[in-house]
Amino acid sequence: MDRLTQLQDAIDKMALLFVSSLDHLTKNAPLVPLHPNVPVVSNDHGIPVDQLQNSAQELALDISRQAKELEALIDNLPGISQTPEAQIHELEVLAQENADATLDYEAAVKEAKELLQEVTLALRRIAEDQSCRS
Amino acid sequence: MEDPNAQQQGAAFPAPPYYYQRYAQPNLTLLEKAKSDPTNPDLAVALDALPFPILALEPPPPIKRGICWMFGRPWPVQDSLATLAEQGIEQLYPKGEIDRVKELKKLNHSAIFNFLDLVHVLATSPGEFATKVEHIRVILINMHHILNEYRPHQARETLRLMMNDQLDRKRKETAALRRTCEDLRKKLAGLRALEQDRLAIPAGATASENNNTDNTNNSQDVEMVPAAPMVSTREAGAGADGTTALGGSALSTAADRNAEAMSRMMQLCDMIE
Repeated sequence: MDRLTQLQDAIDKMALLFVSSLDHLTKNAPLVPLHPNVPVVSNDHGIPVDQLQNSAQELALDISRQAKELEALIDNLPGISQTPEAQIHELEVLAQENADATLDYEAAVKEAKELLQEVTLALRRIAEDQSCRS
Repeated sequence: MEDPNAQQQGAAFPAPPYYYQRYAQPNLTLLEKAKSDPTNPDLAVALDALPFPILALEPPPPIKRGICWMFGRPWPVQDSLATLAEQGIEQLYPKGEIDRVKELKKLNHSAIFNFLDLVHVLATSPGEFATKVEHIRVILINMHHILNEYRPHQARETLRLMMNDQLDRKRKETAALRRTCEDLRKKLAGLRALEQDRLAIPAGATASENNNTDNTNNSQDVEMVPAAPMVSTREAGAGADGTTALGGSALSTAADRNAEAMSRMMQLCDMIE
């Protein structure tokens, strides 16, 4: 896959990581008491605090790893070496060469076809020769 | 017969557009006259009588500038990447010539720091998240824009590589074809030399051979006639043939060589095809 698309996909992946990490932390947080006198009685919501801490740690690691990957990909970007005019000029030269090569190719094909005719006739002669002799 | 409305609702195909009725013969002749001689006064009177401009009968000219609508979405007629200013996004990297790699890395770092800020804001005063989210959005759009500016260059590079590829392939095929032709010609020449050898061997063959081979002579002559117009080298072969039949049967080894030559030539034929 080409590098530009990889880079753009990596950027999108990082944005996704941002969103999903915040999402995960807010959705799965356990309940906390609003007032010291009113304790929390149900444990049904979310996951326990230490697990949450662990997942927060993992998410932070993921994000920083993705940032590092992005940097590596950026480093691998090819530079823009030629101006558009130079490129277009090269393309025109190539197009001309292609047309010439096509002409050559067609001439060779014609030659080959004629030779094929000759050879077929020679074969026929030989075959008849053989059959008449045997 | 159902009434036309029901037909419209239940028909398999939609009705033609309403202006098909404008293409009546009198209108078409008026169009011809208007195109050839636009200043004629009674022409103007006739044209005014029509409920539509006469040039509407011609197909509309192609759109050259601006935006055209296709499948419900606007497409620019000149397809080019809209600059950030046109899209209404602030451009965070300097204008003009820039070092893409460096700018992209800077933007990458800013994105991470802004995310950190966002988390901080959410922890302290969650209501104020909007500005940070907006910042992150602008940064990401800038990054994508820098990359999109690479795309036309990449497209031209790809085209150049493909054309080079095609060129190479054509040249290789031409060379292969020529080589095969050369091989075939050498083999043909070899076989003809073979026949000349057979001629050189004294035609001590008997008259009986003559009788047996008269038939072959005829058949071969018939074949030689249509072959004669083909290539001039055939003439040499034809002359050799009439006499080969005489001297041939004495040499069984020649027959073997013939069979071998035949198989080789069939292989070469397959290659050409």
